[in-house]
Amino acid sequence: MEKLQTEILNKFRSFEKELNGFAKSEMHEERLQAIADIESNGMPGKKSEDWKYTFLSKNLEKYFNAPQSKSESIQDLTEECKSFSEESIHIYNINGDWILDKTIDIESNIKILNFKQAQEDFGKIFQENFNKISTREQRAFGKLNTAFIKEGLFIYCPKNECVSKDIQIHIISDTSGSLIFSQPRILVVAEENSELKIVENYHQKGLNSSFTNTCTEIAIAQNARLEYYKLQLQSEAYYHSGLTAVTQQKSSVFSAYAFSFGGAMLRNDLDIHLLDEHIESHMYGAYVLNGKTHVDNHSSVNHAMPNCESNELYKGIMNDNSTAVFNGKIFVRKDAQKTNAFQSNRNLLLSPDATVHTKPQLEIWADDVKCSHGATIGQLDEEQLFYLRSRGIPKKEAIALLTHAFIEEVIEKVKIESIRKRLDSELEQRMEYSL
Amino acid sequence: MLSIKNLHASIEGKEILKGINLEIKPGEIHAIMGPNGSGKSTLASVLAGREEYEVDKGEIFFDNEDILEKSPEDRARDGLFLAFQYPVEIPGVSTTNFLKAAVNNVRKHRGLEKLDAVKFLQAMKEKMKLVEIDQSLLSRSLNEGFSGGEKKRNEVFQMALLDPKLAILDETDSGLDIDALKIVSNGVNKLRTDKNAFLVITHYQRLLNYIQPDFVHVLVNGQIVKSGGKELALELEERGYDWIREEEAVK
Repeated sequence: MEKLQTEILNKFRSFEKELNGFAKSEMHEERLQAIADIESNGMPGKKSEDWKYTFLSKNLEKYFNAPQSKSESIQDLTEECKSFSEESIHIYNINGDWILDKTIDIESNIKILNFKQAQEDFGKIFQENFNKISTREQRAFGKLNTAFIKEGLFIYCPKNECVSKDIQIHIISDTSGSLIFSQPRILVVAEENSELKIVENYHQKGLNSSFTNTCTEIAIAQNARLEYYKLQLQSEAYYHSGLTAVTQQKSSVFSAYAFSFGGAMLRNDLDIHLLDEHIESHMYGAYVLNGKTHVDNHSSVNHAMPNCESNELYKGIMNDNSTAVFNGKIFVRKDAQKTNAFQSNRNLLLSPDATVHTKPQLEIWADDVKCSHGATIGQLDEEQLFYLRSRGIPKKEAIALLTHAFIEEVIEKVKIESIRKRLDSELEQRMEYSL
Repeated sequence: MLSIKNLHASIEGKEILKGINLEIKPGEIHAIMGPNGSGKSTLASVLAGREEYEVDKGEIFFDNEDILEKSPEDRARDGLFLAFQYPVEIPGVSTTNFLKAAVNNVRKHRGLEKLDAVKFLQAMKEKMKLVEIDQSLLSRSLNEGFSGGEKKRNEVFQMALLDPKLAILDETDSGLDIDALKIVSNGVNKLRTDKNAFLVITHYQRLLNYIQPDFVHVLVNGQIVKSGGKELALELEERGYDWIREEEAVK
């Protein structure tokens, strides 16, 4: 681990030189703070409580300093992504570079800019919202992202603007030339009474593997409504760490959806801060894993003020040698009276070699609240399986029907129809060969 | 069609069936009656291929084929159907999708082509009338929140769709009010031909007023101790099971 730390520090020094004149900006202060933190605390090791099942730092060593190549098939890749949902607004990050041409047809007043432009056009708003949460939280991978920010994606939704099209962000690693390590950074600001749907898609193309370390910050103003989706549907082996940090103001509604159906080792961190009253937060997640896939979902919901509601449902199915980790924390602070907070994690193990570590956590300082949490780990219901088989349905198909039904409870919460269809068809394909 | 010879079966080491012999020919309706715990439902489960039951001895031939090693799905595709005593609720699986999967798997096995959406709907509509089942039930999750009567009607509806050679009705009458009982029986009678057969398992004679059996067998303590015509059912209704037990004891 010390070797990794030294590599990070060395790389930062040369990165700093490349920045030239930009090294005196406010953003650079954030970078310096982040790297100073990594210098004193290092990257999380095996003994770190939050990372003990998901030792991603070890994988990072291999990718961090690997020589990188540019993608040569940008056109093909973007066309393919577009085909998932023709009606959406599409944005691409390929091997770490944002592709933000002016031709993005958005038909609304939202602004989609790179950080450089955002700092020029939205200086104050940008500064007020950038890097606010991830620095407060002691999250090493988020800091690593911050330390090396060069460019980023800024999405701004002005007051009262309701964007009917969903914004699909495609984070693509084209590994046909080499291993790829990239650190995409996203900042979303939804102003008062606006409405926005953001979708993060992860893709890997090519024979080598990749590591993405993403940090997404979302600031939701009063009365605004935001849906956020994270789709990891590919079966290719890739590594990922992603921090999504959300702040919510009065009477806002936030819904997060995370679907992980493949990958090598994936870690999703979701932090939600409810900073005022009458806020609603929903978190839905589903993971369907086979082979040696390892998926870790950490969530943290911070109820700071009274009369808010949070609701979390994560469901998973593990086959073969796969591993799932769920860690959900709910904090109800002293002032957060009349909080309603619910959390549930339910798992099905289909193989004796599959593993799940689940840890629902509730910390309550207020005394007038309704909170519940629970976790279950089970197997397929033999009675249900027999019933289906007794009607002539082969065992494999019966298992597929039952597991799909188990996950459907989460899929039906998805509000974007094209995503629901994609999830259903991905699941059908996956069942075909995995069971 | 069905030939059971000296069938012994157990669950978790406990012997339940202790030498069953039964012959069923096409066109026949057989009723099996017996007190609680006599092994009626075990017999139904063993025939359908439930894996928790161990067959220790004996043979089951269906259409001259040994089916003991066959999976439940293979038996179903061969034309064996079990109407469950307690149909299972399966949340998240739509009744329609389930039926389509079942029908098309059975058709495939019979060398028939898959039904497309339109033809499947036609087939469903036709059979729905038979058991007076409501369309709205079929758009819901399988058996989820169905009343007892609706679940049983759904069983007979599935039977109608799958068109089995041999249908085993495991206490289909239990929990049914008289109207539902008539509907279910009426469905069975309409499906009856000279090519298929029924094995009706029941605790009470009531059902046999509507589905008239050709043979009635009395199952006590894992064995068929008495067989006769439909008049035997009436006698059982009147006298209970004790006199048969006593007769057995005398032997």
